[in-house]
Amino acid sequence: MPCKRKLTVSIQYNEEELDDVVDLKSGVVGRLLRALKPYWPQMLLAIIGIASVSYLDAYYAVLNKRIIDEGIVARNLEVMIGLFRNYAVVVLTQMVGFFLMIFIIGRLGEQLRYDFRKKLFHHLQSLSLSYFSKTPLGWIMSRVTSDTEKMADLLTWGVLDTVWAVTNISFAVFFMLQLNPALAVIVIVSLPVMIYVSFKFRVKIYHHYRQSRKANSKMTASLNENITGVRIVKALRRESKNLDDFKVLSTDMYQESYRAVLLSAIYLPTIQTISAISLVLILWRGGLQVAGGAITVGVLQAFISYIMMILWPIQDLARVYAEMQNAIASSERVFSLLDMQPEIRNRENLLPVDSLAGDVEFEDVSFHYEDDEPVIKNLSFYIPQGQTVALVGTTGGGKTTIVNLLCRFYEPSSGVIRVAGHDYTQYPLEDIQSRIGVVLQVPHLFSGSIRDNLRYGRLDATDEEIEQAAKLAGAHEFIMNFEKGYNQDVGEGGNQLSVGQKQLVSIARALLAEPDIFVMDEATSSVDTLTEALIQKGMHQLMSGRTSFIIAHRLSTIKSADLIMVIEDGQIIEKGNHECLMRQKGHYYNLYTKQFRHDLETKYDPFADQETQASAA
Amino acid sequence: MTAATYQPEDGIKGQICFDQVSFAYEKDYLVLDDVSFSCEAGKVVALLGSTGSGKTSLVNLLPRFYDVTSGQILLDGVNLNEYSREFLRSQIGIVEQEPFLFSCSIQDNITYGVHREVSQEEIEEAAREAAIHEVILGFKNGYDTLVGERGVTLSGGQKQRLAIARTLLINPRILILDDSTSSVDMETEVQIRAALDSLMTNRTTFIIAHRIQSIMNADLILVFDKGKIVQTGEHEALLNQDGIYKDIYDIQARIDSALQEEIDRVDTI
Repeated sequence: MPCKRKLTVSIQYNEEELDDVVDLKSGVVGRLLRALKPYWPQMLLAIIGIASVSYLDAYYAVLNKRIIDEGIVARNLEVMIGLFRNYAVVVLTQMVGFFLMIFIIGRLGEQLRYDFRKKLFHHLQSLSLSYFSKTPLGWIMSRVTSDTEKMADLLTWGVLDTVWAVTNISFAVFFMLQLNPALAVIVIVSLPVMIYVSFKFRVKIYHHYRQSRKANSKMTASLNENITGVRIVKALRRESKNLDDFKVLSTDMYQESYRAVLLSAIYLPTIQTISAISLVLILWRGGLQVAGGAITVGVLQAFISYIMMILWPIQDLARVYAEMQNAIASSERVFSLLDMQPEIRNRENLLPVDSLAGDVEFEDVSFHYEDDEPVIKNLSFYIPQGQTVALVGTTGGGKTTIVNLLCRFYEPSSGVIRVAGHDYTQYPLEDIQSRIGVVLQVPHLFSGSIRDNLRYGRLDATDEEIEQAAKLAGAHEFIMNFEKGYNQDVGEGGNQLSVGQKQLVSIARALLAEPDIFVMDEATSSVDTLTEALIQKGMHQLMSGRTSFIIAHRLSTIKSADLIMVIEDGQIIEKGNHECLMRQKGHYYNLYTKQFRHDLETKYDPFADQETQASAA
Repeated sequence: MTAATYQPEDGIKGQICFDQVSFAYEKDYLVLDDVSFSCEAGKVVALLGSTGSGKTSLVNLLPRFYDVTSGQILLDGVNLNEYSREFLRSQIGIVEQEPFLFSCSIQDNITYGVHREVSQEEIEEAAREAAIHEVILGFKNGYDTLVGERGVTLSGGQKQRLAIARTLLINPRILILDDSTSSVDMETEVQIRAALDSLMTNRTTFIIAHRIQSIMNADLILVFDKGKIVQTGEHEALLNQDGIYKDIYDIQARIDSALQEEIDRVDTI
């Protein structure tokens, strides 16, 4: 049943994210850049900063040239001291520039991450339950955490590195052209070759690196499975076969990593070789000119520095380019999530309501998830205001789906659900969901205090109202037994409380909201007798005067319901009260007698654990 | 680890004898204490007792997941330690309460550990016998449907029937069953029971039992308490002596009459 999906984060879901996406879609890039719009002054400042730093980087060589030519070669101490002073100013300016830039960009990155995450969270909350039942939790988590990270990184450090690299190379070329155009041509010709080779290498290395991570996650999953299932692996004598399987995965990882390492090893020497060739050419052509007195030693020295220097921006550019593929893919996924429309939306011409008190009617309602087989088939029933309905039947029969339809977590694929006289799609979603109180089988509590959790029911409730609701629900006593009472922390997911206590809190929370319709999925697990009695009491508080739908497991609940509907295969197969259904000796009779036996067997089981025995006593 | 190599040419029959077997995971703490019983090939042995009474430890000794601390276990009259572990495990099938499935296709899970070529027909036959064939056909990709996080999530009962199909293909002489069907509905329970019955035919079966119904037809019932056998015998025999077994039976009778009372009450309204 999709709505009862297990919430587990799987390492396996990371695999799909590692698929190579190489085509750069301008739409995505444009949309990504738009995220910078509110921050354009900062970004502009950062770009100006980095351009100046980069200019000064290139200017060093010019300064060095002058120190050599005008100071050292000319043996002029005064000029030299003057130039050193310039040097100091340049260094200081650069330091300030670096500080500002890193600070601005670092902060901007955090702001962008914050924006993306907030936007995603907000959007996720607007999506319908169906989205969450078909989308793996791990996938969603990765979008909000790692993808936003990559996007922000690309927009900040990625942009910054690119600007730095491009300006750095440009300024170097500019100065070289000024110093000696003939020699500069040699460098200018070698530049595209170096850039091309760098890009090729980087993309390949990055590809293999990611493939190796992909192989790694498969390997981890396989290892995990083999250890978890060790008993069955041994019993079925799969050891050698599984070792073979593992070898394949492990070899994959080895080979991908090996290729990445090999390419990395070849990459740098290759670039350096190309650089060395242009260096030799410069030394040869330039050396001759120095000998002929056409240029100074300083100029030659400057050219040598430039050739060495531009190796860095080229490598940086290639790295950003390779990583950009991945960040663009991240952005595409994030945007696809943001573009996802909630399946259940408010209609036009809404009919706002204060109260949903009234009759509930399902008329010929069918429902199916996407293209699957219908899970609810032509269901019709009518419940007068204030009645209690017990839904019984086997797991997967459709009880939960009926309740989900009622709460409008899903809408019927065909047919009409009428609440208080109108088709409920005419009401605003918020009005419906705020007027229906839901108590889940294993209620979800949020980390925080008991009081916080109770207040979830109605945000503007006073402390008195909260305590009042807790008293009505029978939760007050156990809460007061805690050291901090209502301020007791419930732990992550409420795991400091027992299932029974969680239900009591959940019932109190529902009571606080004073809903018109009450929906409850009774716990199947046994709860200790005292808590059970309290839960029953709380339930009756909620049921009185309200139309209630209970997915019932407790015989007492079932028996006391005004109407029992036996749901099987998405249809009502039996309907009536307890006595009438028992006399039919049909499905209900079977369910009831089985549950009756089960309850007593649990109660009297001489082999039961101490714990269960205590709770069943 | 000694290199035990005994491997009878024509397979094993499945006669089991525990001879004063004691077993401890940790020193000085016996989880099985001087356990002796014997059972003929093809018979059904039911193990009854609370959690931690030694039932699971006992069946763990059969495929030699652990070796006895003292005493000996004889299989067809030969000490278990003489058999090669590999061979021994090929003769024992295990169906757990909620079997562990691997994240591969349903087909691969059924043939997992079947160390021979099996035809599609044979696989489907086994699945049919285990009452899981129809369920599998209900999935979009049928037998190629992936199990686990990237595919379908199977219920406990479905997993169990998958394991039954697998065990049918392995065709072992000895069976170990963890018989707990508490979480499945009646129809499924009937199906599982039928599948188990066909699986148990002509195989020496050890049932870790949780309910008395599955025990009543056992050839030998062993009631465990704190690692010791406290009662042993057939259903009829045990009913005639005071002890846990009779207590359980009485409880069942009480439940039956309570239920009847309840039904009668409704009928008279």
